[in-house]
Amino acid sequence: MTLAPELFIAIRYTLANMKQSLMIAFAVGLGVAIIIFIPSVNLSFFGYFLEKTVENSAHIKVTRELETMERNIQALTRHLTSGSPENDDPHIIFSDQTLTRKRNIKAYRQLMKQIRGVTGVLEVSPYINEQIIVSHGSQIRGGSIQGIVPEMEKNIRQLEEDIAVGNIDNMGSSDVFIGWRLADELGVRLGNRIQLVTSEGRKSYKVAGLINTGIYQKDLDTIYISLKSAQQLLNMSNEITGINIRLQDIYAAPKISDVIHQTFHLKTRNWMEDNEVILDQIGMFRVIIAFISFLIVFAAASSITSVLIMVVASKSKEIGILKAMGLPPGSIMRLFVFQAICLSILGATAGVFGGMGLIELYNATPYSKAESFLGIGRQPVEINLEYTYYAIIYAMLSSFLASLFPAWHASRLDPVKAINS
Amino acid sequence: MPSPLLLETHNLTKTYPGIEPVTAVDHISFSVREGEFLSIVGESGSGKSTLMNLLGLLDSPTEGQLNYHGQDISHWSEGERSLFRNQEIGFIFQAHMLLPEFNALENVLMPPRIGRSLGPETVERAKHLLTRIGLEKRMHHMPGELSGGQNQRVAIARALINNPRIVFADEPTGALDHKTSRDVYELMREINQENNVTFIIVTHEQGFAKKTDRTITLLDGRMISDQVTHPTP
Repeated sequence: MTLAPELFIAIRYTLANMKQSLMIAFAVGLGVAIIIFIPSVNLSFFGYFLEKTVENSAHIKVTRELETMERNIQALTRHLTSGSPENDDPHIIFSDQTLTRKRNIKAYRQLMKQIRGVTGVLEVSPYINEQIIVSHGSQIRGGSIQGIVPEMEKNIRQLEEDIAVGNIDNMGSSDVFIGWRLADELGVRLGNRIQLVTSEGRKSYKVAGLINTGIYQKDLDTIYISLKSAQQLLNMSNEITGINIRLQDIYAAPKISDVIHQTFHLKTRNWMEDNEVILDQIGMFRVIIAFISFLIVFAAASSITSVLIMVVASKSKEIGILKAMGLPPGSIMRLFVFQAICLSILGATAGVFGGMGLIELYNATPYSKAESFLGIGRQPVEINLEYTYYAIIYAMLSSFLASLFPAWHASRLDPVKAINS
Repeated sequence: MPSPLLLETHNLTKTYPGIEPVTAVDHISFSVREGEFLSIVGESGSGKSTLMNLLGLLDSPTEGQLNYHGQDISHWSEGERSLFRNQEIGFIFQAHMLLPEFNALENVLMPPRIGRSLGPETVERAKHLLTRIGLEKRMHHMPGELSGGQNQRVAIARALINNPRIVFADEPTGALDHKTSRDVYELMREINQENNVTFIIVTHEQGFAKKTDRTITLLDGRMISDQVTHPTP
């Protein structure tokens, strides 16, 4: 197969002026490498953070919806105007205890079965979440107990990953697993006993394991306890505060949340709402990266325009000869566009390897203790294919656009003037 | 029986616009038959190169008509002109005007490549042409590695590769020494006689012009003589 004349000449021009071609390729390659490297590192960070968050929490949390404040006020007003001393309106909230009661879910096994039947729901797990006081000797701290059924909760999230010490499967009715920071604050060790204090009373538990989620606040206040023990501690027989749900498709969370809310009249909160800030930041970051990428490649493309203008000026005699030999203006234009594309292919190839090299270098750089400690950056950064494709397409498109003016100018050259130039 | 008419000009005129317009070619009418070996002579600025550019469709006339085999081609589109230049015309310039990034063989093969007729046959023909002009061992040399005379011979081979009907040569020996000039002339003459290719040669060398069959003399853009020295059979 014979190459089209424009392509044949363009490739030869590119290869014949290697020094010039390499300089342009370097400029384009630098842009491509930066476009690949920066998003790969940052999106890997965000991606890892998000994955860690999503995998370590329920995709949807279902709780009982509180009555609205307006309704309560209306009920209270009715109650006050009727002057009845009796609290016969179930909507009125008189105390924290009543508030708590309002939030509990009763007959949860049947409800879980129904939710499990919703399309897209993979697993369900009941839980109790309440704020309590923890004490050990003279040390007193606030804590958040999570009453769970470990074997069910493990279907929802990577529970084992949170456990630094101990086996949660063996958690007995008088055992607790507590955040390592909380243990540190209380000065307790594995096997020590702590007191959990609620409005219903207090009870002693043995510390059977330590939790390390990598998230400061969680490690400072989380206490895992079996669901049954939590029900006993809080005097919530056959009641739970919520149901954790795992989905087949995490991005279907808003839709399935709506379905559950509409069907069961329960309050739902999905992982996307919980991570709205980070999702917004990722979106914003993409915009910023796109803008920076535009500037970088624009600069590289400008160099292509400048060089091609010089090439056209220096090759005007040859352009005249090619025209004399019958190369039509359209082909002359394509010739220089192809040359720019050849340069962008060289640059993009160099840029992809450069970007990969930068990522390798980044991965080879040891992480600081602080990074590892927080659980961020422990995963190696991988090349972001999406941005790699964008970078290549963007570099080629920019080079194409950058070549249009010089190519058009070349095609318009008068062959007689060009030959005599 | 005379050879058929190839080119005809009727009042061919080229005026360059400006505050004081310059008429480089002024109402020139003549005809050229197939197989002629013709020279156009004149002083510097007489309009001979402009006339060649008009005849070779590198430039458009401002007035007059140019016929090729009886067809008016003076108002053809750029696409038609390009195709015509590629298929029917060969150009030889004073400086060889080879493309420096391509070797001798690639330079010779450029017209068929442009015309998308490159194939094993054209490659063989290019090699044959280069062998015929004595460059069989220089085919893969770059223009920078060849002498002026060798480059000019490559340019002749390039002009002939597409079997053109007409070859326009603008001062083809202007930059060559005496011996090389004679070699180049003899080569063009051989091709003219063997292949019946029409040569229209622009030159300011009277000695060279005398060796052609017919000489058209220009002065200030006007044709002042059309002299046949050796009638074309």
